[in-house]
Amino acid sequence: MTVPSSAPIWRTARIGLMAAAMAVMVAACGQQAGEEVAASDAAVPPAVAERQEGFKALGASFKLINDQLKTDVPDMAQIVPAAERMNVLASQIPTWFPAGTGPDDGVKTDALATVWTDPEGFSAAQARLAEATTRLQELAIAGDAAGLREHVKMVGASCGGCHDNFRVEQ
Amino acid sequence: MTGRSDQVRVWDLPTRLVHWALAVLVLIAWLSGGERMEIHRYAGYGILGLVIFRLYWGVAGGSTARFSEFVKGPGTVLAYVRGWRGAPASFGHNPLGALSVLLLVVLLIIQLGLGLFAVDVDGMESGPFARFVSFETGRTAADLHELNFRLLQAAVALHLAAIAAYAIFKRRNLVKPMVTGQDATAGLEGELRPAPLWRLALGVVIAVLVVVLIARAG
Ligand code: HEM
Ligand code: HEM
Repeated sequence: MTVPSSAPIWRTARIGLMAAAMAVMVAACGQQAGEEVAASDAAVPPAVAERQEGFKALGASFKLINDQLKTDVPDMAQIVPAAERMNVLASQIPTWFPAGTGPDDGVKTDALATVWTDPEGFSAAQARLAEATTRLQELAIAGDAAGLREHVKMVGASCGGCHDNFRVEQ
Repeated sequence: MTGRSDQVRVWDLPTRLVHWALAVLVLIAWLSGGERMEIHRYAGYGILGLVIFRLYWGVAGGSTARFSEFVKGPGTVLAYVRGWRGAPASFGHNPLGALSVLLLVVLLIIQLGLGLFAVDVDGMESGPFARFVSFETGRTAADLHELNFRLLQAAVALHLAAIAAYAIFKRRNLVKPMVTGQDATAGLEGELRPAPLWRLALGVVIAVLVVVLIARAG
């Protein structure tokens, strides 16, 4: 059996198929690139920069604790200050979201408008973390590695619980 | 005249198993990434083992799996592309398909490397090497891990489009040989020189050892 390779319909179909594949790829890359560019363009207001730094510090401390807890003999001398830092930062979160720093204000932020439209839900999410970090600090001071290993899941869920409702899905 | 007699063996079993295990595990890693991190980690380690094995098999495996046998220079690739319509069926990878294999393998290696250092936004989930880097570096690795995944997706789409193109325009079924190892295309010339069993065993041992060492670093 021979392939009707020179038939115009095949030629057209082939070009169409290739073009479609290219288009999908270019679109995928373009969308990604577009997001990156948009993300780096807008100016970042001080309040937004401050809260982003704050959350990064929260993450850095939590990572330090988790890294230590993965070792056989976690170093409490490092965990205690990190837990304290987290607890302090968690209590500061309510001051990090002044009016006028949301996505509807033309600000480049990953915060969702729900932070401002659902203040009860937002402060409940913050309170949940604050409670979890208070307990974290207690366990750290008590030097209870086993208790910490169990409790960090609660802390992680508190971060995730808020991100689910109040932060742009990544 | 039909039957087994005009089938030629093109792909050895390890090459086929690695291929389909990769396809399944990459799908699982995709669906679990950022969501079900326990599953994601195991899928990632599985892919890591498969890629390590495939690299080893690329120098020690059956002839059609070897990079030195199927990777061709730019001149050969260009000539193949120019004469694509009339090109006779290749035994094993064609010069263009070889590039797609390399592209997929390279993107997989980048994906794995970044995953090992990635930290999620909560600082809770992380790759086994993340403890050697800062939170911010781990976050950057996670962002690049996501970006490279888009490239991997595009490469897989191209891979599937190429297979479709061979089916439509050249009436060539490339999927069946990757399943059964046998190719029934008329006029196919070549012979698979399989690798001895001990090489397979050695490759499995190497891959498992490296994965266990890496996983235990975390
Ligand atoms: C339904 C999905 C897929 C189908 C039908 C498929 C089919 C094929 C076929 C027919 C070949 C042989 C091409 C040739 O003769 O040159 C091949 C090779 C290959 N594919 Fe796929 N593929 C699929 C998914 C994937 C995925 C998800 C990946 C990894 C991201 C992948 C990676 C590779 C690699 C690395 C090779 C080279 C295999 C080797 O020589 O070891 N494939 N595939
Ligand atoms: C080829 C193999 C892999 C593929 C295809 C893959 C794919 C993905 C995808 C699609 C995501 C979600 C990205 C997002 O939308 O946020 C993700 C996240 C992630 N992956 Fe992988 N991954 C692979 C290997 C690994 C490995 C080996 C590790 C480390 C053990 C790893 C660690 C992570 C982590 C920590 C995240 C979360 C990042 C975040 O939430 O920002 N991955 N991966």
